[in-house]
Amino acid sequence: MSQQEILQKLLADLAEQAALLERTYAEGRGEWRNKLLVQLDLLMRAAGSAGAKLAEASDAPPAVREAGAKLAEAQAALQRQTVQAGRHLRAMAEGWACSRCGAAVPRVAKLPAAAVKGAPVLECRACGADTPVTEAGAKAFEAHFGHLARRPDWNPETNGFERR
Amino acid sequence: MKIQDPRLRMPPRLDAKPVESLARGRPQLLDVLGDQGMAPVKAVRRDEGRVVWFNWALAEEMGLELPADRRMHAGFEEKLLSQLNLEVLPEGKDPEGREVVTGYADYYGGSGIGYNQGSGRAAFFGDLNAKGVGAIREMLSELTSYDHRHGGMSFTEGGVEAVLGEVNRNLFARGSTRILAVLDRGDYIAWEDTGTERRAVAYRAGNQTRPAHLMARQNQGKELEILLRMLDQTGDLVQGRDGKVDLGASVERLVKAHAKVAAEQYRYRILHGALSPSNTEVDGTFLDLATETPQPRTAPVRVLERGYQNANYTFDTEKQRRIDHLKSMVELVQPGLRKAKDKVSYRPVNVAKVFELAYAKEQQIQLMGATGLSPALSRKVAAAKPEVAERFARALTRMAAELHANRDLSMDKKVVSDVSVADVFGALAQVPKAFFLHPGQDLVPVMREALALNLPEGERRRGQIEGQIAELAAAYKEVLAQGRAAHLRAGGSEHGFERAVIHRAAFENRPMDALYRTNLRWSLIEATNSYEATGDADAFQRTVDRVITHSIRDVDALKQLGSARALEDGTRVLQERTVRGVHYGVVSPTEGAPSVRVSVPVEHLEHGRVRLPTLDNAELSAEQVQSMGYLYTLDGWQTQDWAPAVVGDGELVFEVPSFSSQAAVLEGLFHVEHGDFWLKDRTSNFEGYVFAVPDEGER
Repeated sequence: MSQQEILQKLLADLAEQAALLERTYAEGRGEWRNKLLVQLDLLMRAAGSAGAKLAEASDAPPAVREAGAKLAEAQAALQRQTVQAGRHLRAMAEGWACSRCGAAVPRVAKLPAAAVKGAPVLECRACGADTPVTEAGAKAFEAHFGHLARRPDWNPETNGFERR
Repeated sequence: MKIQDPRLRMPPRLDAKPVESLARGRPQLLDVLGDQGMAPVKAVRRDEGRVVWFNWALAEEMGLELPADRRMHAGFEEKLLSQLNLEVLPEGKDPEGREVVTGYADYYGGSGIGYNQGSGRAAFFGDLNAKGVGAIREMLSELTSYDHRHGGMSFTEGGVEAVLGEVNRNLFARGSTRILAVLDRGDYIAWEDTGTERRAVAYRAGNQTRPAHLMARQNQGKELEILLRMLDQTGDLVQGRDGKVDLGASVERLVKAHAKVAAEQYRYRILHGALSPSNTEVDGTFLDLATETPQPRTAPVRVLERGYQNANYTFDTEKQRRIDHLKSMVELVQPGLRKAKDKVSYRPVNVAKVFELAYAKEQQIQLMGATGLSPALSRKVAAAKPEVAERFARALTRMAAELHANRDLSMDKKVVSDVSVADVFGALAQVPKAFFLHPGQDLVPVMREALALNLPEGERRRGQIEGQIAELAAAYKEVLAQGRAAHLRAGGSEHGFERAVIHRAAFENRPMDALYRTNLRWSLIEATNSYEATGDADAFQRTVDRVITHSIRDVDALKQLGSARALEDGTRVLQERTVRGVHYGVVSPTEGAPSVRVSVPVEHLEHGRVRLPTLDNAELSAEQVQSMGYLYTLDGWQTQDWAPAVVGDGELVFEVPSFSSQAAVLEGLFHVEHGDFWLKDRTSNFEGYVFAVPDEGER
């Protein structure tokens, strides 16, 4: 992709997300805050992707390539920090079933307070009971959230986990 | 005896027709009312106009040929406009070479229409009724207030009728008048105070028969024969064993139908707000919805101020008007009965008594339904343990009737949420999960918290209300115990019962906040302004569709939406619908867990690339398809999940895992994992699909 195409797409993405957010706010429904976070995440991913492409764009001046690389790097760091449990709920639910009712559809992943370490439990969307993840689910948790879980000050709620 | 099961929510009695034949021919209502009951109206097609809202679901039920992606393409809009887009040709005006189409306006009488003689701004063209099509002089009197004789309909009113038609169809056994399309005429209603408002025409489906038809001067002497044809049309005509029409039994059916609608209104907290003989259908079907609104709790709210008559326009007490209309209808046909003795038998019906008894029974069933029991289970409990049903209804309605006095009850310009002491339906939404998860716990504190009491500390009623909470909790436990026992006796499982109760109660008792009169109007005004500023009719369509999607509540009626098919292995695919280019369906296998299937058609190109013809012909590389998924929510983005794409036979498929009895609104977008691509519905996510997975026993 040329520099111009990359920028055009990024600007179009920005405009589209801005319109969606404007409408979400205007509607004033209770969900606006959650939606804002989701859309912001998408927007930053798009920006990071555009940055990575700009860093490789042969027609871009060196300063633009450098700025693109920095953006991609910043986005990658942001992504590592803001990774959301919902995006990896299926991976964490591998082989999982509710111990109470047998349904295999989790609503959300839950973690205890920061001081108590361990793998998450999943709340059953069907009955509301909590059941620990399987070994495969614990591995998925470690793969996606291990770098965060090792930090003593990590607040799992910022990454879409609920408190147990 | 001819019985039409109203729970089947049969589509309007229209024959399948291509778009080209819409709004043509003789309306069925003419056969019901007779030639004297309708006045011919001359109309012509306008050059200017847009379709600002189209009811794809109704159009499917009518068997119309539609674009596969269910989007309003220019060619399809043109086709619709060439059939609809009508305006009344004023007397003496030259049609200027345009085809003159004959429509029919219906005469009616009764209160609430001023000095008019019937439909002053709506006429039937074929079996579509164009509301706001122009001033119909034959029906109008200069003595009537300007508001009821200008012949127009505002965008806001068109949107309100469109939204509420679909929501009412879901909520009420007898359904509602439904709108097929709302058109922008490109002009304005001029109000007396020199203000103007964008003008619309709403095309309503079906043939609305009103008690007021029997009150028209033109129909004097023919009331009985008209009523019999009305009853035949609604499916309420009962034939006796002696070969005669059993009018008493037919009237009882009507009375019970009205009682049921009134009980459903209470259960969903819906005020009609202006029940008059011309604002309701003969069989209780909702009609003329301009004042209809739900409310957050159960206060005696109203929209219109009518002084000493306010009770007739107030939540719950407005049901008295149904009794009055039914009594009037019975009185009007008495003279005809004497002449038709050999064809019609009639034993007098005590309308008020039949109504009140039927209402009390139906209310008990509706309120047990609000706990999360299915209608079938509620009826079983009511039949086997009437004292349990009575006790629960008494406890709940008593709590619901606790009010704060001297507060504003008008829902016209604001949402009334501070008058009722308790949120009884909100409590029923929340209690089941805690009830089942912690079976040994004391339910009283759980119920108290869920009722969200609006009662200051130290209020003198505290003690009395505490007693009511304890009684409600005890009655609730009894209802669920009886429901559970009936469920198990029928071969169901404990978990199947719990799931059904938890999810039905949570879904059906959610407040309809988007539908509160002031919220709905504000959304529609914003959508109208946006349309006027940008010319983007889709913005209006999306607003209306979004409110409908978020206001559907009746799980059983929801299960009737869309089409259904069975696969070779016995798996059923239910509630299949295409909404804005995306195809949805509930997959219910004979074994294993159900799911919601989301799919989009694909065309395969070279090098593994694909094109998505229903999503603006978007093209994706093989790599993008591999890492593509559907990012979705079932709870307004409180939680989210990601379903990876699977390349199917000519489609991309995304599977949303589910379980029996789940009911939810689905919203999502297609996204490529590494972030360089997403597909949304222009500036919205893909919305518009609301579903209910069959209960355990229904699979």
